[in-house]
Amino acid sequence: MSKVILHLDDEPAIREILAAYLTQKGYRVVSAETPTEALQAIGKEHPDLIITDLQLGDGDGLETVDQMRTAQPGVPIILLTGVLIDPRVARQSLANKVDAYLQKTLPLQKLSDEIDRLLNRGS
Amino acid sequence: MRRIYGFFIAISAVITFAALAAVRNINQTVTTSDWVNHTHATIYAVDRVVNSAVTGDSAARSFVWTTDPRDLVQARGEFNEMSDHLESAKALTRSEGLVYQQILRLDTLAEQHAASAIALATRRQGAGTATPEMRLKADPGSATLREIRHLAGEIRADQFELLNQRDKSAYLQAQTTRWVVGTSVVLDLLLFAMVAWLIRIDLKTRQKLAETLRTSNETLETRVHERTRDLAETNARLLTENLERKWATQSLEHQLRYNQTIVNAASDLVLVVTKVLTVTRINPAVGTRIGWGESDILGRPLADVLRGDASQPTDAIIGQIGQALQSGRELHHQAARVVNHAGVELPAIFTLLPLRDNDKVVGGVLLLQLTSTAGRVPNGGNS
Repeated sequence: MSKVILHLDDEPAIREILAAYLTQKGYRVVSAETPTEALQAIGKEHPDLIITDLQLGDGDGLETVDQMRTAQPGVPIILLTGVLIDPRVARQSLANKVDAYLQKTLPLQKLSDEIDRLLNRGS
Repeated sequence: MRRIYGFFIAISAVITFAALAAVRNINQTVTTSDWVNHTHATIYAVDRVVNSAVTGDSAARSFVWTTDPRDLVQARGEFNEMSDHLESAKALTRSEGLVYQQILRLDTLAEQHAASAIALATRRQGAGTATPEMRLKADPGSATLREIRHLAGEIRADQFELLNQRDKSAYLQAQTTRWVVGTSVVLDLLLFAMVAWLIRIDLKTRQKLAETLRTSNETLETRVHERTRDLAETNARLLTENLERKWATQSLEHQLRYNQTIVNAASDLVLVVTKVLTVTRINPAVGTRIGWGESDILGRPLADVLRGDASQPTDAIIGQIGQALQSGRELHHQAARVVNHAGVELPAIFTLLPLRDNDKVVGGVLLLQLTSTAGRVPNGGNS
């Protein structure tokens, strides 16, 4: 049974690429364009891990993270953003909200490694 | 396979030859058997002719002495029987020239002898008993009978000689047939042995070929599996690389838009120039603050926008900027005047940063900060 990953991003190209990559790695990917869709998917799919963007068209990523935590407590969440933030600052300010903070400039392999780490940590 | 077919053809030829030889021998044996029976019948007939002639002659002579009519009847009967045997002999030898001639001669002699004997006996019936000895002495029958015996002996000897030759010929023929059949059997056995040997070699060769083919197929199958696995792995790797490349491109585009947004948000004037100081790019502040639109300014010389001030003329400032770009130097906080779209010169401070591409200066970025609010365009420009 492959693990389910929920991906929230308002850019279709990003969603497509990440879904193709993670599917090839053996995961089942559920993509959402808006926070509303993402929250609905959590209730329906109960994902093993969530990846979300920080800047969203119709909502704030951090606020959405709080709602996700409420909807499914304990699920690992990766914040994936193209906004350049100093990693030290990000770790300090986001540590209590998300399990990992990654920039979109990183290779997909790094993201995959982080997903494996978080999922294996849980199991 | 061609050699095996050839051997089978040879075996068939040998068997056919042996069969033909055997059939010919059987036919000749049947013919010979008929001939032998025929010859023995001839000899028998000749012997019977002689016996009948002798017996008839004896009976006729007895009649001359005894005048017993039974002797005369016996003599006539014997001579009649002799005639029958002669006819048989003639019939048996009619197709054999030399023997037939001898039989005809024997016939003549025998008939003469019979006629002579009967005539002697007939004369004795009418002449009484006083002169039988004289009559017998005058009878030439004894000489004729000897001649008959002699001729019959010749015929008999000739026939036995022919039989003897025939026996030798039959023996030779039988020997030849035995040799032909024996040789054929031996030859066929040899040919069969060679065929068996060739079939064995052929089977071994086929088994070897089948084994080689099987090994080749297995090797090929293994290689195909390996190649398929390699291709699948390569395909997966290429797909991953392609996705990584798309991801990187997407990320770069995102960063570019992000940076562009930051640049566009700056209130200072930003002009990008080439090494020969032609304006190639501006930020939105150029339009909003001094009224130049992209279509108005792009491609024009920097001197149309930037002028000298009281401290140094325009040529000196433009020349200083050109030299700084040639040598890859930065210029900071230089005083100058900016010409707005309406032609009004405004005091400003500029900074020049060389624009590099792989350590080669390809142009410069000019950051202009207006030091006076006079002459600014209040809301947008021409663009």
